[in-house]
Amino acid sequence: MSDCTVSAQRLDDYADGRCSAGEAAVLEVHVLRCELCQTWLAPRAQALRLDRIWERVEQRLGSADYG
Amino acid sequence: MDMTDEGLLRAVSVGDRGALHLLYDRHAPWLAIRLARRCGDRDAVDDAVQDTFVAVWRSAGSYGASGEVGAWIWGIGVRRLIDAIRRRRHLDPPPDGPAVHGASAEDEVLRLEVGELGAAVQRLVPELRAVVQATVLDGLTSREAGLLLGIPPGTVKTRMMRARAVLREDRA
Repeated sequence: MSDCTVSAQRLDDYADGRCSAGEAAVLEVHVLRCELCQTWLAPRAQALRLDRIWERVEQRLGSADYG
Repeated sequence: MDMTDEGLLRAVSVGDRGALHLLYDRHAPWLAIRLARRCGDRDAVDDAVQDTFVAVWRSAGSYGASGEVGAWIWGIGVRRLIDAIRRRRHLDPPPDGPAVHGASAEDEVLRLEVGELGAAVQRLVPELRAVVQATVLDGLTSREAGLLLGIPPGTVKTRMMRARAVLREDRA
């Protein structure tokens, strides 16, 4: 995490769909293991209705076995 | 609580709902963004994210501790996206039988370093790029990639072979 050199601008461009496919491919491999980048991307995903999706996850877990 | 991804997964495997929520907060954003880049159907992406974390809850104990947790979650997520697309297209599950899989072509592309891979993907024409992205980067079979891209599995395999030829020429 500490050696991450990905700029905020690159991540913003990726989240907004403004980067090339090649750039996206490299970033996607990196983000899988970079907590810093994962954290930066979190607020960029708000438009993707994550709170509502979590509510649905909880509803499904509540109606099923916990194991 | 062990706040590493692996620690949170262990907690989830013994029924810790809070640990699942922490994993969700950490991984759902990038997962949703990445899935949205693969599929323009926002409802399908929502379903895939939801199904992914239900699957994480149910199968956390099966995580083998080999490889990144993020990669494991992505593997679940992209297949849940395929399932969501399939449901929307009202397709039956694929018939049993050997999957068409261009493994040799994929293996050749996988030999590239990450930086090289990005440059190589960028050089390909869009139709070949999409196939490399789906099979090499996303880890889908030719059948799954075909469903995601709306093309037959045999076309996926053919395009993967063409992509391999292009990349081989570039490196010569």
